[in-house]
Amino acid sequence: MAAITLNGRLLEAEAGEKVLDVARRNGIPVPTLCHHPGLSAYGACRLCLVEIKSGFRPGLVSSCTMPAIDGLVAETESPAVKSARKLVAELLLARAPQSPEIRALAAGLGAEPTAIPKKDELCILCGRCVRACSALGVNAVSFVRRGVKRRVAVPFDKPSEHCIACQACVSVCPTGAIKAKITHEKVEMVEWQARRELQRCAVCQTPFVTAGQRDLVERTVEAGHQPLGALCPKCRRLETAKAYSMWEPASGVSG
Amino acid sequence: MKIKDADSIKRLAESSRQLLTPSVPRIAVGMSSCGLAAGAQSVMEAFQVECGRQGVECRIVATGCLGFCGAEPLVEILLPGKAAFVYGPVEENRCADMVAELREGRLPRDNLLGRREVGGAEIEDVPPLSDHPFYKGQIRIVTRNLGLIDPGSFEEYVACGGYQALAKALGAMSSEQVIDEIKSSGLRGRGGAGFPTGLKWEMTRKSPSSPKYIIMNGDEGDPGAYMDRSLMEGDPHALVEAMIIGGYAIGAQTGILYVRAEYPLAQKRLREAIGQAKEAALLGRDILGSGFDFDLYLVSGAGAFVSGEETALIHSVEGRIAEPDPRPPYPSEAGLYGQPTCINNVETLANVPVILDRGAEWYGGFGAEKSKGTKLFCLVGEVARTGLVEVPLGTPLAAIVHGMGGGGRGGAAVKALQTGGPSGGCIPSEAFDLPADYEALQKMGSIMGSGGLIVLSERTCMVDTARYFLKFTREESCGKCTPCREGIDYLSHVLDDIVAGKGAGVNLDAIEQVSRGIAAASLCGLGQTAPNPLMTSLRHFRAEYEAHVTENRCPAGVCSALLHISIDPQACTGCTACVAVCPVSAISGTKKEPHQVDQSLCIKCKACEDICRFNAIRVV
Ligand SMILES: Cc1cc2nc3c(=O)[nH]c(=O)nc-3n(C[C@H](O)[C@H](O)[C@H](O)COP(=O)(O)O)c2cc1C
Ligand code: SF4
Ligand code: FES
Repeated sequence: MAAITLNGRLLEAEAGEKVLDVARRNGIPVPTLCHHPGLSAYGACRLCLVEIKSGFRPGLVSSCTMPAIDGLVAETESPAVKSARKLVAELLLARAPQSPEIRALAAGLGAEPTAIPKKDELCILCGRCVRACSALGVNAVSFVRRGVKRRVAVPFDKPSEHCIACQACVSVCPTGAIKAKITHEKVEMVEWQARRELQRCAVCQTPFVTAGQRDLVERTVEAGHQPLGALCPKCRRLETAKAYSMWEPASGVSG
Repeated sequence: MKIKDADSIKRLAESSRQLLTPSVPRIAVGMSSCGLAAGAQSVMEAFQVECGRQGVECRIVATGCLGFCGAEPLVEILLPGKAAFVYGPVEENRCADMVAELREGRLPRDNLLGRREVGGAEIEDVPPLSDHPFYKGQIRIVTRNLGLIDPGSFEEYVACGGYQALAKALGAMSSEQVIDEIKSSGLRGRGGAGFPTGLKWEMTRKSPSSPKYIIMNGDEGDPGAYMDRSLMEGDPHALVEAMIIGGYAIGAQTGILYVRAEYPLAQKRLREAIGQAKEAALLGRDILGSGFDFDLYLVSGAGAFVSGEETALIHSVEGRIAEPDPRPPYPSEAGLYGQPTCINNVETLANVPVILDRGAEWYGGFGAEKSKGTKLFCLVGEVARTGLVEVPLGTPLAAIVHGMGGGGRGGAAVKALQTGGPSGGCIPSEAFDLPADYEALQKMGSIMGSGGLIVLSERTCMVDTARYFLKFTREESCGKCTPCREGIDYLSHVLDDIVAGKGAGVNLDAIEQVSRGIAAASLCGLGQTAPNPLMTSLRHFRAEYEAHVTENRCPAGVCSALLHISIDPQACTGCTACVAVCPVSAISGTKKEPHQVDQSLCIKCKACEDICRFNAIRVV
């Protein structure tokens, strides 16, 4: 088992853990933005920087991507870390001055509005939506352009063919930059220009799922199971409970 | 023709030697991109036409670049039994006369730069090319074949000793021995960071997983740098040979030549070389009967500076967006498709065959203590002689700028040198006794980088230069990480403001601090080094920044918004020359009386300054 030293504390690290994981598991706070526990590590926002003192090339690294290598010694609140995080927060604050989340985050890091000219963005390009969409195998959105012109978009900014309106992007976006308009009958992903009808539950007939979502669930759930995607969550629970109550132990097995 | 063993390479070398020293004159025209841009194509055609018309039997070939770009088109005429004579620049309309002189048995003398020994009788009054100030002090190891051989000819490469290093490696050395040889040569990566090449090979070899890959990084995106292009265009087989040797050393059976899309000629030459090597069975299965299999593919770059960064490059090869990944893992552990991958720069690889051929000890005899061998530099900017120079590492910068380069263009005083392109920094002329090696440049806050050397003269504004590079990195940043994307954008705007005369409120200390922060916090080398041009010029030329910010003045007279153009009534003779050139009719006055500039009309183009014969125009 690997052990790393954070802020002078010797801490055990499990296989595959990142420095951030070890810190958080031990109650050491580290700010993050592009990190999401359900998504692949990315290392883009640079808020989670920690300072490596020894055990790897000294300097600042993103703790969300840095493996907890045995013998690593790092600081999470050194002067270099604090000033770098503050700069990152100032830059984000200038990019998205209207975002309450970014304002709160900046305040927590002692960052205030600076001479950096303000932009009027909500998206801070953390890429969580892109990674969520890709993790689902849908890949409807991606980054386009580079440098300051970088943004998240659907191909050619044309109404998306591939978006299934599952709203995974909405739920992982830290700043609420992606909007979904949901009515009884349909979901509209505003930025991705995708309008999808909701399909009805096979049992109760309530519209609840887009066709793409249902197909995705059916593709990813093992064959032989109920077509789960066709049932709304409530009916699915009832159906599953029914299946369990009819289950009988095979003969010879004592209860 | 298939080459089955080391002996057949030697035999082919013997039989091909007459290609380089034929019994008739051999006229070689430098036809790399630099030569073509200077008109080499029509020079070559003119020689073909004239030789035919005048009935002079010649062998006319297209070669790579001899390095002296300022004197392109360059032509070498090899006279059997004598020597090779190098001319430049050779104008198309001179070719007829030159051929006539050859026909009459006379040596053409116009624009003759020097002679190159080929073992024949000397012509005493023509000095060797190596005595020409541009070439004096240069050592041509990496560029050994550039300008000498036809890059499209497999035989000419073999005639120059090509593929003998491969035969030696595959025939007499184990992979470990090859790595040891490279390690003890002291070769370090020429792509920027100077990482020891042998060590990188060893790490990739020792990575447990397989298959492994070797990639040549031919993305060369630094403005002002074209060393790698010249190598790929002028000596493609050397790179093919190096890649096979590298593959053998690290245990890779697949190699990729990653060449930027903006280099179509380099791609063409490399493709041809791959095809010829395949035909000769030097690529494919069981190379030279060694049991080693290796294949080589060319991948065209993604058209972005950041694709040269090795993790971004890997993404690009995989068909994904070229954006960098944080390390670890390093490519040597998990690179292309997650497999151990060795990425080497073009120039790094071009050293490999010679090192194996002549031995690590010989190679270690060139260069400095910690920086062995030679380095190619592209000497450009405000310098009298521009071109590609190859010097032993550790050569003082002064010898390059003032010796080979001949100092400032048009006699202008040289102020500084920008090394390492947008990732590097400026070095003031007072520090030109500094040796050109990795450590010395780093100590000055700059980097060796890939080898661009941009000479800045008294006519160059340091603020404007920094602005140029930050604008470049602002646009070429991949935009993934916050400090690089947002931070460089900010710095770039501050510099825009300063040169536009809107810098009054700029706090230089605060700018310096933001620069340091960006360098420390960015994900990859691009963001980590992008503030360098700004930071180094602030360090060495702070007074120039202060003049802009506090006095609204550009000391170099470059930033037009800060200029004030006036006419010195003492010097003005009223000749009206300026009146005629001023595009906005801002100058008025009576003939033979001092004139005046209307400041509300003047666009500060300085046309008047250029035309004035009496030095009467004041630019402040
Ligand atoms: C933004 C950026 C651009 C780069 N561009 C190039 C390039 O065009 N060519 C190159 O050889 N290396 C380039 N590098 C360096 C490579 O990442 C890598 O270090 C190099 O190819 C390794 O080869 P070497 O060890 O032979 O030098 C670049 C690095 C960065 C950060
Ligand atoms: S430093 Fe710049 S180029 Fe590198 S990952 Fe960050 S944004 Fe991209
Ligand atoms: S959370 Fe680690 S870089 Fe964004």
